[in-house]
Amino acid sequence: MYYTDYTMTTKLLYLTDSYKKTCHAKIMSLDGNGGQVSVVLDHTIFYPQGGGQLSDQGSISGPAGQIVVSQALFQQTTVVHHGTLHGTLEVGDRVELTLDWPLRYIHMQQHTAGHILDEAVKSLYPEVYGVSGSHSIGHRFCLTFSGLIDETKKDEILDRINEIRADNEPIATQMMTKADIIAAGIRIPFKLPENKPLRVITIGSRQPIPDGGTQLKSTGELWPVTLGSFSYENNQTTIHYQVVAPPQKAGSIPSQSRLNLAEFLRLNQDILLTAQTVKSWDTTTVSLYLGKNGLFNQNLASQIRFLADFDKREGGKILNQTKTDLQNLVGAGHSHPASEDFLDVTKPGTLPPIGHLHPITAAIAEITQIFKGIGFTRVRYPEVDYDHYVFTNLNMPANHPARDEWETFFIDAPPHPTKGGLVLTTHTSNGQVREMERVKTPPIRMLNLGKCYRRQQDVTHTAMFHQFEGLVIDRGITIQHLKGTLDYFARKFYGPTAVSRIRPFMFKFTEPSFEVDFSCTNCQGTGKQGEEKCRFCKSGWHEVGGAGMVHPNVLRAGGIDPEIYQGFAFGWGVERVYTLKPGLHLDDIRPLYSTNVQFLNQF
Amino acid sequence: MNILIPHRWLLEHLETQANPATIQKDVSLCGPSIERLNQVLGDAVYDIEVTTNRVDSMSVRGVAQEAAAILPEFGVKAVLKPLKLTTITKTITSPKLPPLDIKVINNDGLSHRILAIKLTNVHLKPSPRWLRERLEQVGQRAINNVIDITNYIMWEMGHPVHAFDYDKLTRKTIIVRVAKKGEKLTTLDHKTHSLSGGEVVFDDGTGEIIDLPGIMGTANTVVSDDTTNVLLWIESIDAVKIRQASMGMSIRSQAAILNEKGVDPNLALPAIARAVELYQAVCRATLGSKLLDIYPHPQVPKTITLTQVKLDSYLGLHIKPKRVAGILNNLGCQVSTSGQTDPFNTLYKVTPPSSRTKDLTIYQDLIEEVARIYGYHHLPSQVMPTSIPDTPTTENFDLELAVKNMLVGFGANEVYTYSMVSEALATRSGYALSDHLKIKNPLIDDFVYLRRSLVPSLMAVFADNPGQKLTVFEMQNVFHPKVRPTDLPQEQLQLCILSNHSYEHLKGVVDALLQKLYLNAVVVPAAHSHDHFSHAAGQIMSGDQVLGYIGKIKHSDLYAAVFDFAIIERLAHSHPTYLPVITSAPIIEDLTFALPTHTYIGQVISAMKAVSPLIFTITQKDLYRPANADLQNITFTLVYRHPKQTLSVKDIVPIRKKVVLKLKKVYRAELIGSI
Repeated sequence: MYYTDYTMTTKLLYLTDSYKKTCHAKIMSLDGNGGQVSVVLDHTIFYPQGGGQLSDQGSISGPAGQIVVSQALFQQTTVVHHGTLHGTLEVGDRVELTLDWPLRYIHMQQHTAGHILDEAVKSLYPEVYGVSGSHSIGHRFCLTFSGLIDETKKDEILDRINEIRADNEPIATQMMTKADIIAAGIRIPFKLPENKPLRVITIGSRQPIPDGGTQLKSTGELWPVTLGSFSYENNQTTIHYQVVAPPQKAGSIPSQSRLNLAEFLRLNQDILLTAQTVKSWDTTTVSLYLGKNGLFNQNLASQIRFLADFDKREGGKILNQTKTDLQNLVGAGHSHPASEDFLDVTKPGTLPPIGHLHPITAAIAEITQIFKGIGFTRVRYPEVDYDHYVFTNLNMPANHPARDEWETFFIDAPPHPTKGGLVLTTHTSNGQVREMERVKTPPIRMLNLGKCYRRQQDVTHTAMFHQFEGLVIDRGITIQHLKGTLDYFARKFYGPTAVSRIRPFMFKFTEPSFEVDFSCTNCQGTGKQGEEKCRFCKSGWHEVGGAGMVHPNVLRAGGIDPEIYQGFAFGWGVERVYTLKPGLHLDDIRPLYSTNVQFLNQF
Repeated sequence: MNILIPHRWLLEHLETQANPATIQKDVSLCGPSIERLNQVLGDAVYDIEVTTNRVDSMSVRGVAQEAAAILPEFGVKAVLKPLKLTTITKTITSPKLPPLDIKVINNDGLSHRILAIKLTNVHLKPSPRWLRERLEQVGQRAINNVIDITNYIMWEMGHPVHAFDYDKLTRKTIIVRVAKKGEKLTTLDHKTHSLSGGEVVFDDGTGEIIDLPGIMGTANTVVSDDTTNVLLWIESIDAVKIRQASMGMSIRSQAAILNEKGVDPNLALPAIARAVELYQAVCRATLGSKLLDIYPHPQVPKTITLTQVKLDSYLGLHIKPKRVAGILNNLGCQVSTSGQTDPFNTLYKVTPPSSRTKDLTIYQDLIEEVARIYGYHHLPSQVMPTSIPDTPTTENFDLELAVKNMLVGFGANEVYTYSMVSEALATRSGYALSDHLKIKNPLIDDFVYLRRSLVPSLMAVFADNPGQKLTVFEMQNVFHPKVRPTDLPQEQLQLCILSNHSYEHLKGVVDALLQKLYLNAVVVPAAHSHDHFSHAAGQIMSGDQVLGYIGKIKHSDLYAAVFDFAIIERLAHSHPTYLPVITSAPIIEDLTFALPTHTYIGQVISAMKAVSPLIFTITQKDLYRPANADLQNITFTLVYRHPKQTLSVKDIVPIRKKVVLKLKKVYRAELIGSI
């Protein structure tokens, strides 16, 4: 979409000659969006929407193309013709304008009928005056008057209208500014735009009336008028009226009583298209589009009733979208000083869709990142694995009581001839020998992070859970390096004051073996909160899991000579280390796997 | 396992001035973890976690031995008091006593050691207060003095002891044998057990079982209120056999818990001697026989060689040989050192105490002993300065996380559901139940099969959150049974997205995801229904590769997309192929067509795009479908661009004509309005 500088003024030929059906003009500007174009000419016979009369339609033909004009609109002091371009046209081209005359003529009839009704009422009831009018194609034309007029007076008013028609009074025009009109003491019956050169019409010898529409030459040309129901609101009377085309002329006037959805969509798009060319939105432009008598209400909202019933629902949707789009345009382009004075910074924002990463994923990502920082390679090993890797190779021969520590799920499948039966891994330690087999020659710095399974389900255990296993093997790896790694993790994961400690423990696959504790971040490792015992930890410490120096039998099982290489390993629950995060206060891990959205949306 | 040890009882074996709090703190850092200190009947009682390899520490005396080694390292004086059992041992083994008049046959050496002695004139009555209180402090129920003494000795010395009613052993015969399947016995708590065969039992020679040794006595030989003569008995059955029997019969007595861990048979003699002492003192019992001791192969601990070099290499620092030897001595080891001229090359020959024969077997075990008593807290802490390995695997964990984050950015919620599913959920996967991996020993009915698809689990998420509009996803392994016996089951990383918003919503999420992965993909309507999907499903194709499936789930309002993540991982790009930025202005136009309602719009768009390379993008702008109509109105926004020059309306007229013609021909589409 391209913006155009409308600095030129279009000369409005229809103001002086409503009967001009064709004319020549020059293209001053031409903007296009695909086949849709907006054209400004040096002068025009197209009546632009507004002042209680609908836009003209017709065509603009040039040397290499033609625009089928669907709508003409006021844009500041120019008239912009919107339509579909076939072929090409360029700025500067001389073009011929042709009105859809039957349509225009109906508009003229309807418009003039309003004036005559106004004159009839005024002459019968001098105390009332016209307040507003609504004109649109085909249906429901009305005028609203101040004061109450009884519906029994209908025939009296009709008689007066027919008298005026019979008198065949001439209808004359004159150009004036709004200020001049007010100065002349002429009552202004309709809301009038400031930015139009205003014209005043005089019917016979009556008082002049400001009007920018197209008029019949005389009252005698007006077709018969019928009056509909009178309605009353706020001490005002609204009178509905219609002009009735003489039968012999009906065929020559295109019917506008039906609109299809595509046409309706086009009307909407056209208005949006012009709205997009507005450079800055001020009170006038906003009311031109969105005001009570603005383009949206007059040209779109009022048209929906011409849709077939089954199209009305969809039409409503289109209309709503147009309104939203217009409001967005106004909102985005609003440069009125008032808007800079006030911005409601407290109003609720429009939220983008918010998804939630599962806390375990977040914990895994953090753990992975921490160990990556000290050179660990993350790996993934089977969740269903041979007994060989889960137990036997970890220095736990069959029937060893140490296996009881792991409540193991067994898979109902025939065992492998040498590697034994299948189990759901009870720990990520199955990765130890697998990693040695993969890497073959140290150095090894492995982080095996994955799912484990045990036959238990309570507040601190779920049958499925996650562990991460560290394995470091090289020459000269000492207990000090394990301590260094643990402290590094503690500081990164729990904060700079956190420390680790190791205590003696027993695992078959490590020697020496350790229990690993991290200092409590709630009480800074003191075990006390004021005079009270810290309720989050055991005397200032949290047990997180096991560690140890890799057992020589495990190194041998992985094909590594324990007399050359040493190493350490550790394995802890992701859930365990995560739930110890300061301030989390999650003391039941089962909700992690419950899929309750109320729980998950907190993360 | 945890054991309770009262402080005053401990002081009967440990000479120290240390208070319970000090002992708790120091012992926990270097030995068994003293988890709690409770006040029971006027004394501090330690609640100690002892690891399964340290059955030697599961007694008052065992803990005293640990404390005696640990406390001096903290500058606290502590010495293990010697057992004063020389006299009583001499008495019960005196040749002046008559031999035991019970025939004992130890078939196949099933018991490593058997000790037995007859006690007569036993005065059975409630135990004295001190004995009852001690048992209460350690959580044991006092019964009568004859039974209570056996429990007391087990707690103090760490070796289970059994008391038979001598007079109920009418056959005067005890045969140690292996039970046959289907044999029955009634334990002293009057529960009858049927044996599965292989358990070690005692037979009185008639075939009747008169004891379940090492685990629990039987009702037919147990001490009762009228017992006056007792056969005090200790056996030493193979730990694995004890464990199998105890687990198989679900009899988890304290005796079984100790015996299954391999109690030191050399502990049996001091234990029985101490017991006789107590029977004499508490029950005024007299000796009815000489002690019978069958011990064909006495347990002898193995001597281990430890080098200073290895010790220092584990600790990362040097500990002086004198200190090393001191620590090991305090733990009851015998140490001889050589090569002291160079303290860094000292060689230690270490013989552990009998009680640690099974636990200390390799030099690494000794390193652990030295290191822990020296104190892990005294070791410095440093990240290893060794070289960083360059051994990446094929998995792209970063991409997995990136994809999850993208989906979260698109408003989806990640969930974790269990890998194990119920029969109902397994059936919903579309695979037969028999084509699933099955858990042999499920915990609950909800966890029986390993899932082959994430879809049923994610469907359950919607049932768990009724009335919520959701898009959820999960990326986890699914499990496919092994093809050959030597294969592992195939674990496939699956990405599954489910939504109850609309198909357009899900498709939008999928399109955005694939776009962010620089994957050119289209959905091809599937020729046949796939797994959970209704017939309204399609394959997500990138070239000739199937990335996954998308569609509506049968009999539900849910839409699903399922991906084999390995394929995404293989085909995804980390960056696009750069195309020069087009600066010339585009021409944008909307075309509205009336199309038959059962038209694949994606194919229509592809067909339109194929008309000319000047068609830069096509998006669906609007769709209007009246109820029950055969036609729908669809508005497409076409953007025409030429890489070099600005297009004029003239340039696109022929393209538009071709588009309209093609759609009319192939899809019976009518343009609304005129060209």
